[in-house]
Amino acid sequence: MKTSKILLAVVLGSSGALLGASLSTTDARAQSSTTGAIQGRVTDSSSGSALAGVTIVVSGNSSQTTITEEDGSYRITDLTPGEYLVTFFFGDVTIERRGIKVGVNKTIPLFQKINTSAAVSETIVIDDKPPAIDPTSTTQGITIDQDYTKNIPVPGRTFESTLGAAAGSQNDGVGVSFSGSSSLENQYVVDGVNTTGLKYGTVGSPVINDFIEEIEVITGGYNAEYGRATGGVVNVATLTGGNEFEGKVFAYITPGQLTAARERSPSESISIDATANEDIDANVGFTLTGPIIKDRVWFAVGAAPRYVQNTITRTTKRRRDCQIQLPTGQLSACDPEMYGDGDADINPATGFHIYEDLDSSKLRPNATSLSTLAKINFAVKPEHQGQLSFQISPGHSNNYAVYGLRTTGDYQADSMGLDGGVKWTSKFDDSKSEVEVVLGWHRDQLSGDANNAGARHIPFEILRRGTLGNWGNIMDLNGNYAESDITRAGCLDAPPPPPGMPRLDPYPDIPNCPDVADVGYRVGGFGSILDNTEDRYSAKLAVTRRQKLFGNHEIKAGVDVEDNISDEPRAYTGGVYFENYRTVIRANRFVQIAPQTSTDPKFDARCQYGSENTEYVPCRYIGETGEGSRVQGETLNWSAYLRDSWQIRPNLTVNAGLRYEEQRLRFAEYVRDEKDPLTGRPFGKNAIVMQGMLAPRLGILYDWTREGRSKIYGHWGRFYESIPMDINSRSFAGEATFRQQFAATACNMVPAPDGYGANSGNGCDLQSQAPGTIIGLEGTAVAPGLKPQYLDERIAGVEYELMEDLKLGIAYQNRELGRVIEDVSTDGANTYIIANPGEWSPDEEAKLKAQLDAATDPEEIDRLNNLLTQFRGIRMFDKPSRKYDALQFTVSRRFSKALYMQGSYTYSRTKGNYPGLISYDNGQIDPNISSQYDLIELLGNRQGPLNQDKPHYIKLDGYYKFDLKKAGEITVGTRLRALSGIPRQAQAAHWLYGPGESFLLPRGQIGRTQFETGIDLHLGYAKKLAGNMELEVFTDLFNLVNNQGVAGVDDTYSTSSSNPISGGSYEDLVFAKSNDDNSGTETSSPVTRNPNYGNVNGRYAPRSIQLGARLSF
Amino acid sequence: MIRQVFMWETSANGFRNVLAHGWHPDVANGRPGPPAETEDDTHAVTTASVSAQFMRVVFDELLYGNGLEEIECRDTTPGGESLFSRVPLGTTPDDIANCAVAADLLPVLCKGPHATCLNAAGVPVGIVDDDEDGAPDNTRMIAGAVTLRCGTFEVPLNREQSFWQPAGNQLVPAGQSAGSSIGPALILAPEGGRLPSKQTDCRLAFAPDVTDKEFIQPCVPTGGEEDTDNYGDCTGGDMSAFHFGTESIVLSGSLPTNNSPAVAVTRRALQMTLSAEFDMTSVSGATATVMEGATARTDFTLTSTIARRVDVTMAANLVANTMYTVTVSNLKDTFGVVLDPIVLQFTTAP
Repeated sequence: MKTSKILLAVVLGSSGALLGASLSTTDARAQSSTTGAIQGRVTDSSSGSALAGVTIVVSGNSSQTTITEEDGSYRITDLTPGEYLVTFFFGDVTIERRGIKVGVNKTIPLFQKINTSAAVSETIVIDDKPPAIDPTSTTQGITIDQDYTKNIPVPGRTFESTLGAAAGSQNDGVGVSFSGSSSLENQYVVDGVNTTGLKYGTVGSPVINDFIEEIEVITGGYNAEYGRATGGVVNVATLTGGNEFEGKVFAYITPGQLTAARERSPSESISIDATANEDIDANVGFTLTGPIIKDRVWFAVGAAPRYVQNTITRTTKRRRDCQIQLPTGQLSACDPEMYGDGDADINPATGFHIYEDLDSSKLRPNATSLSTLAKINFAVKPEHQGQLSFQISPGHSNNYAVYGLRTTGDYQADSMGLDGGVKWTSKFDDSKSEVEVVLGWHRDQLSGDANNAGARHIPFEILRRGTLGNWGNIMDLNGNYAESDITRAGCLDAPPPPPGMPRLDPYPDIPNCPDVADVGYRVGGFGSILDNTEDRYSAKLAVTRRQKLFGNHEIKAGVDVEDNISDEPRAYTGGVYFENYRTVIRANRFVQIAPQTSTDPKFDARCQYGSENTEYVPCRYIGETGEGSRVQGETLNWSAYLRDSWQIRPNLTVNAGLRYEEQRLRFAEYVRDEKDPLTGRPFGKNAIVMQGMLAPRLGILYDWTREGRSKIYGHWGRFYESIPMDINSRSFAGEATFRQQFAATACNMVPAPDGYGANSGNGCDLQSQAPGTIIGLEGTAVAPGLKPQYLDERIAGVEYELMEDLKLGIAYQNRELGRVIEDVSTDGANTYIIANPGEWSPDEEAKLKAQLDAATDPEEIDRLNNLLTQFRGIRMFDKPSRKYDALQFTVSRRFSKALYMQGSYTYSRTKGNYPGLISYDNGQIDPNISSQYDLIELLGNRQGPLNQDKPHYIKLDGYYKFDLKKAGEITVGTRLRALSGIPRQAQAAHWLYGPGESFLLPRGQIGRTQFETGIDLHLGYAKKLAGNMELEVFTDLFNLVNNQGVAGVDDTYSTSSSNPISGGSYEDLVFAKSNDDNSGTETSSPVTRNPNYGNVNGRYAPRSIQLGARLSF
Repeated sequence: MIRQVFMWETSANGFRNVLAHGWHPDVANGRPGPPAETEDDTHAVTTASVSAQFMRVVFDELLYGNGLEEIECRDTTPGGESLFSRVPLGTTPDDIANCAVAADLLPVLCKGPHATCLNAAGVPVGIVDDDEDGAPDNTRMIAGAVTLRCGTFEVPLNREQSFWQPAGNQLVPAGQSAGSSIGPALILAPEGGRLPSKQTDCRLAFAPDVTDKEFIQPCVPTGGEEDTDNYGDCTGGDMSAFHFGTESIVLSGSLPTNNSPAVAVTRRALQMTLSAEFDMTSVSGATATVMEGATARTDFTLTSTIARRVDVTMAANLVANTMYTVTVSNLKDTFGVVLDPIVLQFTTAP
């Protein structure tokens, strides 16, 4: 405890204030995603009796006043994050509590004792801090403020880069995941508005850290106000203006010259090699906050442009045949005449082929973006406040083709993020009742187009199993050779010359430039058309009432509604795209399948399938434009909740809540009047109506110190998933793909619109009745009785303030998926059923059976029998599971005596057969409709340690400020991470689904990648200038020791199709046999081996140095 | 251990793939197809097809492939036949890849206890790996690893077409049938698809080094006919619970058609097609009788120039309005089993 003036014995500060069993403080919960609260009780230091009528003024960003009640309690809510001065006025006594820091969604317990007998007419200033532990909250996580983002080397520009500070969080390659969930299961709230990406659940509004006042990261244990998340909740509060003008101008730059080269892992190369290095990442910007009308209207504005440029070095290479292993064990010199032996040279140290460079070129993709913030807060009266906020973030990027024609792959993309929010808060009845209304709009736009106009309306084609030699003579759309003269000459595969004639090809006995890794070469048009818009309109209403009844209750009830709308193309340039396998060409196109018995003339094509070339359905090709080429999706969400935070005793709190959610996913408008091919009935409006999502939450906390310096707590809750909108466009918009297969010899094309002359897909007669495969022939059905996806959570923990400002914690957290929604196919990919894998309602089965019994029409009987068989098949699938168990040890020292520290060690295991909304194993992001549950054979060997399973994770963030007095201040900050590696797999292809779908060996059987560590360093020097102005220059050194650890390895053991080896081990792979790629038929041929299997294919970023300057005032 | 055996049988229901041992929910009445709840799913095979036969022996645990298959090496035997090599226990794909490199690197990389494709002098000769992926291109069944014996006959297996498939489980993949996909399985292809006919006791046996991962030899448990979870135990190497019989080779077609009532008298070439291949050379030791009513004719020749067909060619026209009975005896199948007499009857037109 420290005071700057006379410390009177009567003023004990907060430490003794909670003493006294009869005290009944109000509950310490204050749930708001943008503001916090201060609450406590004022008592007579001599008698301990409550002091009513004490005037309390809170000053900071804004001012609020309240008076203590009869029991001495008070509560001030809706305080924007920041530091406040709290002043108590009682008679002649004035007590100031300074530096009270209020955080988002946090209630600061501030108890005060006053010596009422002392007639002191001076102001007593107390600088001590309230307890660091919130003894009434079970939430897990961390709060990140501006000091953190200023002084800790945060490897990124937006708030997402800070989230990894929370114990139990990790980067999962798509975002930051929490507590064993995937990152697409989070919810992101900015200024009270849900900004979660609509389509996939990613970060929808990447607000830059400079615009942020505070970030609250909740990794578990949240109450009923929060829902639609089975991961974490991230609350971001942007800057808010106060009565003083404040601002900053900043500039950061990461020059490529100071960035270490990316480490390359030995690998079996391909003939086009690409290495990307950062040239520059430059950011400048400003923020300004202040009053428009003091105590009434405040503003906050900011703008920050950014420019990023990389250099991709594209190198063409060929194998060689000019060395041998000498008897000495050394490799010979390269002499093709002497040592050419017909075998391409292999590096004995790595086992990979040796390549030599042919030609090199540099591509420089770049991106510009602008982040802006505009916010107005106003207070009609202190108890009636409003807020308007906007963030607009336009962006533009230029991207270049690496593996193919520039005219095909060079494109520009434009993006626009927009968030708007309106918030109103009113308090009534001496602040015992409170109403909050939030209206929000979130928009995300993305469009892209080929730079070359000629590529906009012709099909895209990917050439596989060729060599760069074959492709070298391809002409691009401008009539130029695709590759340089050097490359074309170097890749020439010429036969050995007659004796005495010069060699054209130095290595005539080997293929020089093979496409080993099946990457392919891209020609033709742009491919998938990109022009997406997502909108979310949201409204929230919350009413809070504080009531005394057997203790103190804070009862909060709320309701919110969200209308989510997406509009995106579903089309390929030219209406089709080709996969060219040299001997076979596949033409893939979106089609609309005619319902059974349909005679609608618009189904003017014939989609033939089956090896006998006799089966077909009438269909309609979906082109670049026209019906079905754009799909509009809509999902309507609403929820209501009621929760009570009941403080039975000052040190015993029970938090109980109940949340109800509904979700309605609608069919795309253009199919609503169409008939379902499976059922023959109109689709109608709603594809899924998810009701009955009752999510109870219960927490109990006990503070044995009775001073707010400890808590032992437990929490149980159920959390429901909010299904992202990807499913709307993929499953509820009549998507079906017709993959026609042609013999390449039947597809010769001269001249070639795609630049590829011979055997091009453009030469295939697409109107012919060549058979193929229809993926999604019968469409997508929703299993009747479908139930929502949920997760149950249990938490038990202890926190203790060991000494002032230093808090220790230990917590056990268990999370388990109770049910999952995924699409399954029980008929071999003809029909997809959105279902709960492993379960189908017996009641629904009985209903369907009753319909069947009552049916008399033979066709109806067949249809119902088919449905019954399909739905029963859902039960054959393994029930998805994901179980997370974690033990977290945390240490937290808030900034005090020049030191801040935040650290954690988490031991956790995440096991199961379902990683969540991201299929880490094949990179697929299709929430709830991933391929992992599509086919029964894909389930084999999936049980085991999931990708999130990193048992040991140590995090330590901290900074220390050296006060140089007048000379300024030096800050040293660090960010340390040490973590277990990721489980490795052995995967093969599936004949129908392609690479990476089949788990040859049980998940994690191969072990895991190595333990990794990383350390970042921040060095800053700040100097006070005139007035409040301060100039700080700093540098952030990311990955200080340049340890480019392993972030991923190539888990594809084989590109052959094969089924899983149940319970197999690595040795069994020697004997695994492949399936035919076209029919799935088992063969006696051993599976191929990916030469790069197990090789590192992802590394942590190299050392980079960011230089920056910040002028704040 | 052995959970199911799929094989081909010929019966009154035709030539079909059936479940000869065990039970599977996706197999009805012994045959792959939609489940039929009311039908008996057990199906002991007594008439296994003696041609186009192959068997799928499904296990409920993994065997060591090392005792079952060998991989093709670059060297050849003096006779020009490819050399195959067994794979030492514990060999990983990485070890194999080390032995699939160019010749100059073999001494460096292909060594140690898991080196494969060593010649008689212990020098690595390299694995055939034309696609340079580090995996063997070809494997074959080790001679004697699996023995299929029918009575006194040991049925030769086609070692290239027989293989060990560790992949698969009891779930039937999309686009495949239970009989061609569930595993892990041993696929056994008799040479030419042929079995000896008229056998009542065909059995499988395994070499001592064919074992599961606990070094227990394959065995056949009893039970499991109706409930996949209710298999009995079995003692390693005890294959007694699985055996089958083979079909007899019979007349399956003829010209004129058997029992035709009005055959032209000019039909002197009588062609009898049998249900399976037989030993065409056995015709020379076979006997034939042609009864013209009650009279035996001797003016004919007995030949076989086309597989599965026996030709009886009469020297003169037939007699009108007469019943003919042609009997061919002592034909033998490819294993030397004497076939039951083949009888063709018809009546000539008036």
